[in-house]
Amino acid sequence: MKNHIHIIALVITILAVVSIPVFAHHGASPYDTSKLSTLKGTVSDFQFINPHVEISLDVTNEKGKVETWIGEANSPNVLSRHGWDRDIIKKGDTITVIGNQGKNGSKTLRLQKVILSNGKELDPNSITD
Amino acid sequence: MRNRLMIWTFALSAVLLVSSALSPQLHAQQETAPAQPATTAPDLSGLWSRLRDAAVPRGYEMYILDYGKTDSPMTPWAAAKYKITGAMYHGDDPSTVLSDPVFQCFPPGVPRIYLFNFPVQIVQIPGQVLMLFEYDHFIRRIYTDGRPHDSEQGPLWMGDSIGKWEGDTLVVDTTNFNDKTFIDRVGRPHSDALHVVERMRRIDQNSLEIAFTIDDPKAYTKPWGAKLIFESKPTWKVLEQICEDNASFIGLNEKATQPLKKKK
Repeated sequence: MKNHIHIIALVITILAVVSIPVFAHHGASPYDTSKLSTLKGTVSDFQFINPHVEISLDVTNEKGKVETWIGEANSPNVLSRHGWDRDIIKKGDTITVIGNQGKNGSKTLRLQKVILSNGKELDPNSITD
Repeated sequence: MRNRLMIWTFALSAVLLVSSALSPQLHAQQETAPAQPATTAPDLSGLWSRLRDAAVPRGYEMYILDYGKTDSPMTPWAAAKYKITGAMYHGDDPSTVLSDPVFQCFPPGVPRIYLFNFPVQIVQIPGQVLMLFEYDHFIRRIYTDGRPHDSEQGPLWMGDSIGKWEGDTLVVDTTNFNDKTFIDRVGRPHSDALHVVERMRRIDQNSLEIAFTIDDPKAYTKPWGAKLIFESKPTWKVLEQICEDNASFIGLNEKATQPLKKKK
């Protein structure tokens, strides 16, 4: 009788583990909206295209190694109506970005603020009336 | 003297005779002409961008998810569906969000199409009011020529719309929906009995109001709705927006493991 209970418990545990959804990166939001990260670096690419404007940023980490981060902003359709254009950021620019990192720990950010080298602040969401 | 008198009398009579002969025609012209100048037909045309509802908290997601604090009393049928579909956007369940058909670029339905953060161009032509959406270049045709609802097509993703003017308001009646869309992006469901009524009017030169009502007895115990306000954007133009760009972009979490593709 005890053996049967142990087997049933084991089966239930296995079933519980297996039923955890596998596609962990298709979450309702792939970004950790509970905290913000700040990075300063050199722009290596700026794609002002749909569906999301993307900034590639070369950032030197604490160990002196250069890592490339990708920051995602809103659609250029929205941003171009709020002061952005394809030349607002250029390769080689030094900028600071603030955003939510990808939940899987990848070097990706959903951008919440962009600060240019001249101090100008840009809103990468631009959901204003 | 008498001759002159006769001539004047004759001339006066002739004038009176001619004028009395003419006057019925003048009267007739006045009777067929409008009693007052024709009123200008209401004009909703322009490029319109929806203003965020002040009740909806600031933030990218909430702006596009739903219509603010609206009461939507669900039937048990709808509540059971909403338990699953609502969880798509409220929880951390990673596997269901992509089952929303908009992620495969199916039409968003009405009124959900108003929730996308892209403007709509309204064009009025005889017998139709056209709504040209920047979002995935959708067109809604609202027939104002008095025709009944289309009985030949359907059910349809975007429904079938007919409209009639009530004073300054275009009252749009849309039916013949399929049940594959959501009312909004928090997962509120509807059935194929959905009937949407929109009241569209220009509040002033720069503002448009669209008040919609959801009437779906299978899903909601009573009609409910919301008012959407749009601002005129005469300096904007409709830009290209291709839904498939989003469908192939399923999150930077995947992109981060691939090299950034050069799209220029």
